[in-house]
Amino acid sequence: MKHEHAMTSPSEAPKKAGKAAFFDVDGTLISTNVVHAYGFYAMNTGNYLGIAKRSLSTLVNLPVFGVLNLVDRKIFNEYFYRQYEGLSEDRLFTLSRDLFTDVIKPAIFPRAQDLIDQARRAGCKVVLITGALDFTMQPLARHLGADDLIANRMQFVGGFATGKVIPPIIEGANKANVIREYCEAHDISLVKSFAYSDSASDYAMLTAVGRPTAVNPDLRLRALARSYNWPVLDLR
Amino acid sequence: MVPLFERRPDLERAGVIRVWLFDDSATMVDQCLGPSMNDEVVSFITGEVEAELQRRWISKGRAVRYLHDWRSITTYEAHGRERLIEWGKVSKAHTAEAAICLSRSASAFIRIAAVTGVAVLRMLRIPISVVDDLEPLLAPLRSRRAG
Amino acid sequence: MRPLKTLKKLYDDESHIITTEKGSPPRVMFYGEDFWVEDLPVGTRVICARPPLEGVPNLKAAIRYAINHPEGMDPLHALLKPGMKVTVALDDISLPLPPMKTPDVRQAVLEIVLELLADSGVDDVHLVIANALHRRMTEAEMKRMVGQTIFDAYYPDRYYNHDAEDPDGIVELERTSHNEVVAINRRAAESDLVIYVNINLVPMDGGHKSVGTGLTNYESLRAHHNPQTIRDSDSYMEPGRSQLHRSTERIGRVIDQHCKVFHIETTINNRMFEEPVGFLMKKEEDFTEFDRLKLQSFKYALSKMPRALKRKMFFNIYAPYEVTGVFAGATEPTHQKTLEMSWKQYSVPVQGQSDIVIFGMPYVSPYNVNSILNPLLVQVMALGYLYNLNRGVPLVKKGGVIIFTHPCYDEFDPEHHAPYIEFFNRLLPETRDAVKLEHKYEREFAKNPSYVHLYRKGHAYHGAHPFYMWYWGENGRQHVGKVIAAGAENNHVPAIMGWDRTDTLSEAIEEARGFMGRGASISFVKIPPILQTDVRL
Repeated sequence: MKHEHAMTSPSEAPKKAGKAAFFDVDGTLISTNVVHAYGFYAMNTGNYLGIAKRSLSTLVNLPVFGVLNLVDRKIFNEYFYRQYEGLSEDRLFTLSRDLFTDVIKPAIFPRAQDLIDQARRAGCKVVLITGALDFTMQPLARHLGADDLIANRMQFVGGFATGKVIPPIIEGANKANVIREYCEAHDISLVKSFAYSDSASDYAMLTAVGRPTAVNPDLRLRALARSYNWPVLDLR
Repeated sequence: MVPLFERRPDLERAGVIRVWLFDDSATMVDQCLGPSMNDEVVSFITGEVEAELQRRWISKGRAVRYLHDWRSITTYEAHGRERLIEWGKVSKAHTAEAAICLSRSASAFIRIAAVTGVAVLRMLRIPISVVDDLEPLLAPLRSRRAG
Repeated sequence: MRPLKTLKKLYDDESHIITTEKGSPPRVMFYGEDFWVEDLPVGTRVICARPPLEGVPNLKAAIRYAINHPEGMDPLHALLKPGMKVTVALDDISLPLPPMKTPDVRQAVLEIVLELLADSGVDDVHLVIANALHRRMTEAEMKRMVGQTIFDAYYPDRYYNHDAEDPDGIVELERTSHNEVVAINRRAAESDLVIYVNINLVPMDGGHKSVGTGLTNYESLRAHHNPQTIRDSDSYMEPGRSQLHRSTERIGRVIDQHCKVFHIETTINNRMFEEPVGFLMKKEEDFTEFDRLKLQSFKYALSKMPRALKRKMFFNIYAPYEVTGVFAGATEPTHQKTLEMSWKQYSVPVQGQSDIVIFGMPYVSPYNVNSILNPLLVQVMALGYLYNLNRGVPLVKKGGVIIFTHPCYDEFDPEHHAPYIEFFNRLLPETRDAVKLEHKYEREFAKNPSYVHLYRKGHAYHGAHPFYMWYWGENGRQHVGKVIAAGAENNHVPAIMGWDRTDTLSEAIEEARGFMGRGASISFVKIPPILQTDVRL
């Protein structure tokens, strides 16, 4: 990470022309419940991942969705990535298309598209930033009409997925650094840019831009938004 | 591939799929023979098999158990998969139980595809699961048959 | 309710002005969600409202008469043809204040108009709330405004809020001779007839301001909702002398060329309160023992309640207004009649300006019905509305002092006033210069996708609205020498606003006298009920 970016306060940044709107995905634009329910089931089914044996009688009665939120997303993601080991790129493409149709598309919050359209009308470049894998998010990015997708990238060797993610892993505080670098590279003003997230774990990303907004916030983020006077939206 | 039951299948497409029906417990068992879950297989299941199920049980208000032996499957066509999920959704009201058996050595590709589809149906509260051994569910059908 | 004749006796026509003497009773004034009862210095001029005008005896008959005998247009029934497309636009919840008891006059007008439309074979009818950049009204508020029957028949597909940010919902017409953008609601623009149902509380509203301001978008409002136009408007309450109204008139004339607009304007009297708070309608000199008892017990009850509960209670007091006139027809001649009636109720002749003017600040402004009077709204009340309630010249002298009574709590409703929060906390500490704020930040706020979203999908005022609030106070800020917030419970809100603060009213008066000299003249404007001073120099 370029440390000097972190040291530059937004007001001192040199004048840049463009502006962007950065959207967290999970919980912000799409329902965490649905995706996590899927993820939880997937992780616990047979030797799908080999982590846990099929131990669930019913998926839908689970009170764990809340608990899952508490699990470090980094660990959650890393476990999740391993399942893709050994798959070729074209098969991953097929799977991501299925995942989008089955799971992600029905989970998009009803007002997410409106907000993205408004960001575009305001002259923002629309960028999704997520800890998920890029190929799983590409269909969503296309569907919502995003200009760019910043997501974790899977490592490929000889055309096959290794199950490992190319560092730096995009999550938590790292999102802020990635956004700074993105703005640097695309002549975008951080101060004029927007960021949207549902979770206090994205606090760093929200404070990196000039115009942060809490979306469907958890309790901690709601409290933060109140104290920093950030707008609070509900896309559900 | 060895048939799951000794008696002749009730419905069959040679070299593609065999289907047995058990009236006592309103159970259908299918055994895929080819490597691909393609349109042909899906059309057979959602067409002929579904029509027979309707005639025998569903029209009489009976809920059906679906046991799918898909151990031979190593690939699929996206369109066929979508139709299967759709079929699963519309069958919700008369599904007593459903199980899909994949090969223990099935690739991550086929597992992820199956698990994703199954997860979607489970989120709709349809009692379906992926298993890697169908035998415990088949055994009672055999013994009853023998008895 | 006290009969009108008795009330009239109480208000001798010559007695709108009382000069405080030794032994005069203390004055009751609003202090946010509380009352203060304060002795004013001897010699203070107390300016009271006129008694409520008599309402029309039969409202439905008055409405029918107006639409059958309109000004400068054919009667409404003659304008209707079977199969035509009609849009009925309605003033939003910002009028009147406090909200009126049901049935709302808009409901009464709609019941007659909608029946007439149905009888004439007009089925394609939409009801659109002309909320401009105000917050969308909630379902419950919309139901209350038109009544259950109309609500059930039209909501939500044919009865809805105007959406100034709907990219497909606005049509831009040609610009005015001054290059002002003219944009209106697409449904209205594409209708064969627009019927605008207005409630006129103050002379600022209605007329060309109805469609041109209520059904438009940010780009068009910018033409006149800006610091320069406000500075060039001597008196907002006097359309002839206001740049704001000249601009809305130009815009309105373009609209009138493109759309057929039939206005139905209504005026109401100033009967804002009835029992158990009927004492608010009286001069303190006329208080009975029972009134004093009610006031004391009311004050006691309020002192035991948390603020949120007090708000809830106040917003459950609805005003028993009576309709004093219904006027219909073309924009200008109709509005002329409305203005005459409006002046008749509100105008109070006053001889000369004062060095110091005192206002009691109530809990409500047009922009916080069912919400909080946040610091920015306190500002707009003090320097926008109350300062401007005059014809001719302001009541306070140039360089004089305005004192108002309000706690100035740092509270904002995050749902209704989201952009206000940032405006107050981020922008005002940087500058209070309206022009600088406009150039540097207005567009950014207006286009902020979060604020646009909150406006369109939630119940928030538009991102540009806090700026309008600040511009509104511009003339007051330019004119007065000092503003004192009496009873402000913190230091930072007055400091950010650029005001002084004191704990009590007498301290505020002391400070103001120190500023203006011992012989400074003092006026206390007893609002509510609402009035407008007609200052003669």
